[in-house]
Amino acid sequence: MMVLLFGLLLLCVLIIWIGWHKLAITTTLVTLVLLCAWFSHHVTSALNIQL
Amino acid sequence: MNNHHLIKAANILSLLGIIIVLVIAGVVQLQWHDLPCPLCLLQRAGLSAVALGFLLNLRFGARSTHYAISLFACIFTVSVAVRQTLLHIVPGTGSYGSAIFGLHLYVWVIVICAMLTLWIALLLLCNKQFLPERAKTVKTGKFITMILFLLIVGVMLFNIVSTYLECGLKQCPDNPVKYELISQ
Repeated sequence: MMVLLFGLLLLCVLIIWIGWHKLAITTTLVTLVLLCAWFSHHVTSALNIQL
Repeated sequence: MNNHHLIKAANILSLLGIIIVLVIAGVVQLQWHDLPCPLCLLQRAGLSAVALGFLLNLRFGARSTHYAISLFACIFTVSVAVRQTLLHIVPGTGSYGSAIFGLHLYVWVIVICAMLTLWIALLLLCNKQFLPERAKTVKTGKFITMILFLLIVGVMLFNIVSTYLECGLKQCPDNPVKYELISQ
């Protein structure tokens, strides 16, 4: 999963490089949301919380 | 050197600082065979996301949206680092990885993110950088920006390859001791 997240970050850099501003911002924000989701999944599974 | 050039130099320095931190993490991983845990990888990803805000500033000119992205990423990264610090804060619970100047890497991440947040707030104090006529003058330093782009791409490629070798496409082990895909 972390490979995919790093891949998304690399995709963001490439989109910035190409120059698509709105797409770059959207992709970056989506990546941040996915990072938060993965972190919360990690915390809840480590604490064995049933949501 | 006018106000706009100062802000651009500040963005270049910030980006360079983040790249240096990520390179140090890579050197520690390779030199000391210190494999990154899942939380360490999330901190690396968070710092890379902070760098994206500065990259956006260098590519499209300074905008508050770009600083907001860096601030969001700072908050995320510091949350992960605090979580990892709290896991080891009780005496006798051990620690993860090697210490540099007496502090473990996840504690350094808290310090760095706090400094980055203050730094971004300082950069946001300069209103003139957002004026439209200033934003059009983003022409200088294209060579440095290109080098920084290449460096950040290199760091991210290293992270992708090392993470793939360490965990494959599944969830990384909590306490990794070997590269799963190499040492089978």
